[in-house]
Amino acid sequence: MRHPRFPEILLVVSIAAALTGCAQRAERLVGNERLIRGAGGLGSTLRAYGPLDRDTYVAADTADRGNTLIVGVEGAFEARVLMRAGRIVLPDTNDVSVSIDSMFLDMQFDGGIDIPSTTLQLSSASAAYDSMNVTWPGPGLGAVMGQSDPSGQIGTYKIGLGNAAAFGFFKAWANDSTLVPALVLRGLNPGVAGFRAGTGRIRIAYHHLVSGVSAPDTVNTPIASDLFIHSPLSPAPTGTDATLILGGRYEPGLALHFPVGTFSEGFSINEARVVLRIDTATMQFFGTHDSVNVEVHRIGNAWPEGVFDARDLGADQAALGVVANFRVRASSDSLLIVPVPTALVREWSATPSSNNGILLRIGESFRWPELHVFSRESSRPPELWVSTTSPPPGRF
Amino acid sequence: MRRLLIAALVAAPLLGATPSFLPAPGIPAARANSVFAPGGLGEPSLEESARIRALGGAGAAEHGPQSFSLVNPASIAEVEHLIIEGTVLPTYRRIQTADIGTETARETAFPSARALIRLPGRLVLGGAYLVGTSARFRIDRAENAGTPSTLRIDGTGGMDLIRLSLARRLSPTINAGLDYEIVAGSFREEWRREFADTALALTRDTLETSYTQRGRLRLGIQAIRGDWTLGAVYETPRDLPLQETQRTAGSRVSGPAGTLRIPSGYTVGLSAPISERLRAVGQYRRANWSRSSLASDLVDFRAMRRISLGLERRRASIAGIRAGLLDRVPLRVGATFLRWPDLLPVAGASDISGGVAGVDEWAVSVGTGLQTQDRGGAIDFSLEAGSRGSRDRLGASERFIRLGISLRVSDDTWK
Repeated sequence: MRHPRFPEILLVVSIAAALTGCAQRAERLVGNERLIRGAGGLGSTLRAYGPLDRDTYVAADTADRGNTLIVGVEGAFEARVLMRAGRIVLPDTNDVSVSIDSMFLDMQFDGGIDIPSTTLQLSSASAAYDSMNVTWPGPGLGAVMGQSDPSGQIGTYKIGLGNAAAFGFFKAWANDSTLVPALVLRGLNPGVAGFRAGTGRIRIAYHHLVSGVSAPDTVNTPIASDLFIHSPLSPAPTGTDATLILGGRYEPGLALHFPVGTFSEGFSINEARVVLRIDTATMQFFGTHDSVNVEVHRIGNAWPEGVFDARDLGADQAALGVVANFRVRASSDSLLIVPVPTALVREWSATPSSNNGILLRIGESFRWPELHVFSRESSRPPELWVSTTSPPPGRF
Repeated sequence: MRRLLIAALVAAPLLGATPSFLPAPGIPAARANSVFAPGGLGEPSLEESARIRALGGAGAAEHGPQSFSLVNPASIAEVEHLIIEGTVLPTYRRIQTADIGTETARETAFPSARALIRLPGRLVLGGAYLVGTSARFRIDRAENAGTPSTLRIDGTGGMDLIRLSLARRLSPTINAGLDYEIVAGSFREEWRREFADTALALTRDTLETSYTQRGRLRLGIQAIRGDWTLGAVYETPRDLPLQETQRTAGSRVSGPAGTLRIPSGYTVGLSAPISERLRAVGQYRRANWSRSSLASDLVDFRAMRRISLGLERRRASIAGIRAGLLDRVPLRVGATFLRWPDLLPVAGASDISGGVAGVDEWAVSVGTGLQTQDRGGAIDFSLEAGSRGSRDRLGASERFIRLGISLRVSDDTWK
């Protein structure tokens, strides 16, 4: 038997069923044919190429307080490690049974740097140095305390301090805090070695009587602070060099300045890139697994093209961006493209006085070969690429 | 009453889930509207409920406790209770173009919502939200001007209208009403340009054309003699200063963009009895849009005209006689012809200097409805089919089917 309201229910259910699928979605996209916005079309994106008006390479600080210490000689380049121990720890000097077996300095190798065959020599420093302000060549050399060849050593480098005077030095340092407990490690022959900062220690191995029996023991004096200094950038930049040097042992950076034109109101900036050409003919290629991260920093101070020291640029510590995993393994790796934040370019366009350019640098670049970059004085100068899009036309 | 409840229970989820400005969770918002929505003022909306829509939109002469329209403020003068009414409008469209073939689209719009309340002194106060024009669209297209890119434009907005109405029955033969209509809304477009070259950051632009929201008056009157009713409405003009704002990353450009003049207009309508249960309605509506309404290179204007005709066979009310289904529900048929005010550039032209063409629209409709026993509440349906545009002149034409559903409840409904 049918429900007395069956017709009404059937009508409502039928209509509801017909509505199923009438959701808020378009099956396809419509309207292309009727999108008419005047003779200018819908806007366009154009790329403009501009020259740089200043470029040079600039020297980094000759003191490096990073996580890696390098030491040695390579052509005109020389690096020395400066170390300062804290309070010297000696065996019990009241124990007449103490017999010194050996003294040595040990440090852990940096696994990222090949261990060369060379001679490293440890000396005391003849004068105190200020860790924060020391520059090449650093303190003078005092008495030689020992030397050794790091090649053939694995994991930890040891340099014996068998010199009879060494223990005397340590005793004197332990007893008189006014003396200079500083050490200098330098290379005597070509070859550059690398160590992990903060791993150095002075060790004294000895025997003494324990309950009437001679027993071995060791005391350690950790290196409280360390850094390395290197010789000044060579060749020095002239401001008119055809080739610029980025990275390498001296860790130079590239200072680049490019004028930014004015943008019409409402334009979008889609791209701002500095395109640098690499002079692959004059540089050493990277190893198979080597690559670098090129950091982009904003320069704060106005600078002439003859600037030498990167510290004069007043570059921001924080990077604007990074070109990651850049490498030059073949002559075809000839372009270094550095993005510049579009917001910064827009700011420079609005207030040209704030445009002091950018500084490129590579952290711990001493690990890798230096990059040779063609300058604006060359036949393949750097360029600034800027892409802009005109604003959409109005509806009416 | 039980009938209405059944209907409401079935239709309520649809009504509640699909207003175009309130996307349901998990369902992307409607992104298609008329193929002509990317230009001019957008698609003109018929704001009426499904009952009037089924009559072709002829509502100027509607009156009574439950019969009223949005076009004529005088039509609410006889309302006796608190009434709330809303309409939802799912649409299926098929677009045929001259160059890119045929496309289909579906969307759901929410053309109007209204609340009315009877006040002391035989006054009736009302408030309504209605869509004036809809400028919703989405466009994806490849651009080859300069660096190749893919462009997506999402258009939203249009002209929204907020009406505050006051009406009174001046005498048994005269109803009068007044609307204060605030022109709200704005035209907003999001432009997103992506590049195949990954070194180029995508561009996001926002383009917004807004106007100072101002009100205007609409005056309505109805003359009633027996089953004959004559209704008329006059709309005052209003100038709306336009402001155009364009934003992109790091840049904002804003400035005046002329004045949009909402023109004066009028509507006249008639309801005439044909037989005891059958009546005919007719209406002519005109808004005096013209070239001076807005200075633009992309759109010209002409007077908007809508002609509406309808027939209604009322439900049988023969006490004690068991009538059939078709006798117990009203049946409505109608037809309407609309001339959009926009004169758009012809196909191939980049602006109006290359010639313009208007969008003409026609539609036929049928409808019915269910009413509570006390006639306080109702659910009405209309099914409309029509066509607009011209492939020859405008490069595109549309055919559409719309299902209008209106739900009306009053304080009687809950008794």
